[in-house]
Amino acid sequence: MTLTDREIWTAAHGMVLGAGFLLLFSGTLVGLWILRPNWLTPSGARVVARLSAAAAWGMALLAFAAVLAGTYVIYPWYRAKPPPNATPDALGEASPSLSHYPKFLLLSRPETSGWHEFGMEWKEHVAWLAPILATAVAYCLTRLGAGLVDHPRVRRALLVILTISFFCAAVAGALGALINKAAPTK
Amino acid sequence: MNKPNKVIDMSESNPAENPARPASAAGSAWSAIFAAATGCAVLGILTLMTEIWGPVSRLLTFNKAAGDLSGVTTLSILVWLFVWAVLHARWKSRAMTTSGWILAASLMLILVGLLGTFPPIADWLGGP
Repeated sequence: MTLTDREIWTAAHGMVLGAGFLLLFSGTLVGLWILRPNWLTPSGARVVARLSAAAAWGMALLAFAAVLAGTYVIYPWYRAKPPPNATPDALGEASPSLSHYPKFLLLSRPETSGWHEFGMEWKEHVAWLAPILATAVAYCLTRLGAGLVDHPRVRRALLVILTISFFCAAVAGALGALINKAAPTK
Repeated sequence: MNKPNKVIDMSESNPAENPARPASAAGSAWSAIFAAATGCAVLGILTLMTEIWGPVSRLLTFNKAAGDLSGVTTLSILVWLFVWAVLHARWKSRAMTTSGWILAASLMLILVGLLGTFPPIADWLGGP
């Protein structure tokens, strides 16, 4: 029962950073949802705002860590060019396997090429929207704090932006898991 | 006889009349929201450009191992932070009573970002 360095990085990218982001989203969403007049006392609003801001900063940090690790550590392994004589199935030393070159393994078969041409192409870019939007939410929660109860339009805007951030991370996470199943980075 | 509980009604609170919650804080918030949306739009537009035009892809390959994704994301982050700094300086002391257009424009910019990253759009526009 062992994992290679690449498998550890891939697991940390998806299961620690990505999953952590998705978990903290729930806390931030609930906090933003209940920060409204008549629902909380002033001291309750302050506590909720502080907890929500902490959760939102957690989201932003984890999302940045995930996209940076994805872009500069895992993606280069994924898109590395294989030797010219590599084939999907190893045929000895004369023809090494594409199994260590996930992008080219996926592109080698018509039935799997869509995982790269649609899945990876979308995932690698849309994921970067998540930390940008999560940072905006975290900043606003910190700046306005319990004062958000007096700014319902800002609060609603943050709910929308937070949901879009979650959508982007969820798309990236789901596609990443499926692509890694079709052509594992190992 | 029980004393009635004190009711705290925050529904009528007005940030302009409440010095503890300055209305100007909303200006900072809107600057962060609009700047983030701008960053998303730039990321979407640059993604489309790298998919459609090879020279742009080569130009934005800041890191050979990561390809043009490195340039697209680095530039988007820089634009996002620059726009944020500029807008924050301009809007931080404003009450922003008419913020509807900022929200509408922000949502449009985020939509541009989402569509720009969606591969079928690049294919439709003539990408590889």
